[in-house]
Amino acid sequence: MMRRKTTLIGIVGDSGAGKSTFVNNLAQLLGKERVTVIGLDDYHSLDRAERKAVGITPLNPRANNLGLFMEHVERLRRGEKILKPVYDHDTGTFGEPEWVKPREFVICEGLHSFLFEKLGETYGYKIYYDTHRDLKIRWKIQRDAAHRGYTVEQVVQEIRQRQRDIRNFVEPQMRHADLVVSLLPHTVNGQSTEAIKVRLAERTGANDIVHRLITLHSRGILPCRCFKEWYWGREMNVVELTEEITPPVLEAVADALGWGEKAEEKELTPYQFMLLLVAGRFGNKYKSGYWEERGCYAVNS
Amino acid sequence: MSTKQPTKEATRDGYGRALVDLGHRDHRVVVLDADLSKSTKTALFADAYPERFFNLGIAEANMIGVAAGLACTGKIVYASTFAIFATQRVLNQIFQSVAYTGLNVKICATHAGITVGEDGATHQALDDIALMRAMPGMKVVVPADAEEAYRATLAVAQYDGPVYLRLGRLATSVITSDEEPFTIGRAKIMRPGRDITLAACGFMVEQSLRAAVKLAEEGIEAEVINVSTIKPLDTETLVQSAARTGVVVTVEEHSVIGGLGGAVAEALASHHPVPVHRVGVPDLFGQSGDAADLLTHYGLTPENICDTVRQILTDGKERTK
Amino acid sequence: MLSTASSAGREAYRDLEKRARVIRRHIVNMIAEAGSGHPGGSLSAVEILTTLYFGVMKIDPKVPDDPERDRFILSKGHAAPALYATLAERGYFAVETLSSLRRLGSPLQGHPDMRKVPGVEMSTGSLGQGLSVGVGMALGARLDHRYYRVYVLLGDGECQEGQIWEAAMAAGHYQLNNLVAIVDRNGLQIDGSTETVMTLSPLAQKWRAFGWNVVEVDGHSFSELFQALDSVAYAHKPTAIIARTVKGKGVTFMEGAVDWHGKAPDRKQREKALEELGE
Repeated sequence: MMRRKTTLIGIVGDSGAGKSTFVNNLAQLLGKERVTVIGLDDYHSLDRAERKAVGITPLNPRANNLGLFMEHVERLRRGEKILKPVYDHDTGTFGEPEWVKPREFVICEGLHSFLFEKLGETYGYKIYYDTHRDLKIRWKIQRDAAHRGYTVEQVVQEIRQRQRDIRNFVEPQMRHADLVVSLLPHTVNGQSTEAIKVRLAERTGANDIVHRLITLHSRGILPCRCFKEWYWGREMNVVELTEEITPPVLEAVADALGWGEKAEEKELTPYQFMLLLVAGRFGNKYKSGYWEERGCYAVNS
Repeated sequence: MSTKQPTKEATRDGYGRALVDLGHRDHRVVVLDADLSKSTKTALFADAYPERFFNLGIAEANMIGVAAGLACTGKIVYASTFAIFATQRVLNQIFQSVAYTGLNVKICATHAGITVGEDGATHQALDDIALMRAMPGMKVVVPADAEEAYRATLAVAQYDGPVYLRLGRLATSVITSDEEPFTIGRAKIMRPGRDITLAACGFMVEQSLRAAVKLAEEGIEAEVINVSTIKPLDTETLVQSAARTGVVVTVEEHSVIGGLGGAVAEALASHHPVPVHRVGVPDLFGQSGDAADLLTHYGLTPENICDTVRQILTDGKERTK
Repeated sequence: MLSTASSAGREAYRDLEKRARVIRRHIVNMIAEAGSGHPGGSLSAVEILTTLYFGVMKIDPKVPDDPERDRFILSKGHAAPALYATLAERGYFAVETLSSLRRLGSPLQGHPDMRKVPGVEMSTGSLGQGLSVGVGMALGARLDHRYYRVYVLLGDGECQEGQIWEAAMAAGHYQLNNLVAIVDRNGLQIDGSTETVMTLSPLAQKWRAFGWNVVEVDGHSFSELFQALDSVAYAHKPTAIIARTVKGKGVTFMEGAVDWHGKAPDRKQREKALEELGE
């Protein structure tokens, strides 16, 4: 039997930052039946009690079995199935392992998905998913303050305490990413609004998503802001999407990127548009009208 | 918060009390010491707020740099050690890391002057005012008693910039009132008089007041001014007094070169030239001895102040004959 | 353990290499136009500064006073041209300002002034003082529960100053794992080689003995500098990076030449230097 080629997509980002929702949305857009998702959280080497005893957080690579993760990613790339460990977030302990087999797309998401150079080379595409601290705080307050009775100060303090580990162990992986997706609060006259703006960054010289968007912008098709910025030693082209994408704009973009004749009927937020762009990078062979079936996508849940 | 002390108290004690109250009021206050916290009285703050106290060991140069670094992060930093180490020993560190940068560091030096006593010349700072005064941007404050030291310690926290606060070891009487707030740059007339001006700072304000009482018995009305800020100098108050009396004597527990005497002479030479006589430690090193004996030896007593005044007034009369 | 070269391999550092070249050109031009300055120790520190400002530090030139920003202190203040060129290229101020170096009224003093130049965190010049300030900032971060890092660049000759070791002792005492000292080990000082003037070796052992995590690297290798700076994440102590460099690096007639510590190139030398550095 001819085995279809597997595309590995690595995704790194902080937890509690809407990463799993992003992964779900992406899987939905690519077609759930075509996607296998494995999360690095299942590869904790220490359970919650053990981490507490040693005094490290899951953000520390040492709390994770990265060797096994690496081996599994390589097996998946070769099309083999893996016996994946299972970590139960509710209890903080390990359950029974389960068999997972690779589909057309394998998304490997976690805090350290491309920490190792070898891992980095295995992926077909690497996305760093970056959520602004203010958004993390906003979402966590909505979640925790509503359901668990935490005060705003407690939430802010907890997020701040993570900053050192995030900075030390997670953010440096940005320098290996093919695409950095950043979600930021949209501020108007210095006031933060409910709206979210999205930045997409890729290295100068890369001819991928951002490069195409800059071209569309220069042709007057796409309203956005384009600039250059340094990310961890690499000069990146950045596109900032602030405005909603109207159906005519989307139509023109879809046309230019070869997505098909018909896109969406209604306006898309920058976040939804970003999802289409990322999924479109892998899925532009799909037939027209594909996107509208998938409905609307939440930013976090 | 402060209560009047019936007994004698050193200015360093007022400083120590103030730090504790200040630490309670303002979480930005951080205190540093170089292994002399019991003597400088920063130990009181260390007990109350151990997380905001850093004992940097016998390494004063580093302490000044650390103070500057903490100030860069928005802290109000009080750095203490003996005056001789807080100035001479770290002059270039203060110049570059604190004064040139204008950072919010309060160098609070105790054991200034000759009244350090038995430890001798190596521990007696007699040129610290001169050194700090020559530093651009540095404010120089010399409280007259423990009460004023308390208020000055609180007051300098309100000013965002470098300050040199000169404190003593010796317990002295409380002569200032806690009713007036301390204002940097404001001299205060402690006793009005028309015949001669005694401009003093630190413990010498008390000595000058005693001298004024004696002189009054002889019919000489001396005006005593507490010049608790040497820089910026309250030129207005000094000029007005000099205009009334026509002659000024400066009294300080410091070298006669470059300290209060130098500052007053410079100001009056420019704005209202009158004769200025300086009572202080002559251009000599200090030595070991009991504080009271040293004060007598170097002429920092009410008696010697009186003698100086009588001599000046006699000479003045002879000259006008 | 960490990967540092990106999957793009050798290409990984092309942007930094280009930026380092631009910064070196600025240094040569600035000092030549000023007619005085310190090219040797400026050129030796270029990769270190480039790695920090373009690769590792959490900074936003548009918000130079962000309380969460990483701090950098140029303790060897005479390398000011290297710092100015880096800050200008990073976007703290206009590149055109660079040509005013050392002129009356210019913000670009012969040695850095924090009150005059955005992005300069501390005024330096008289050697030996920057690490103490770094200790203060690192303690400040701890008091405020902030997680920024403080980087201090020291000259190797500067390590002859006693205050450096006072500060090293304090950093070790407080286990300031948010503090990183980088020693520009170019081996030369004004009067000759450091080992002739006043022996520094064994320098790594000295830092280690003061309670520091020590890493020795080639100070012109981005890959090694990145790896060393990554290792800070795992340290429970302050980290000292001893960066072996070449004084005057990038301009052959200045390389390893003690005479170029504090001398400006003339017109011909400037042209030759720029030619060697390339576009």
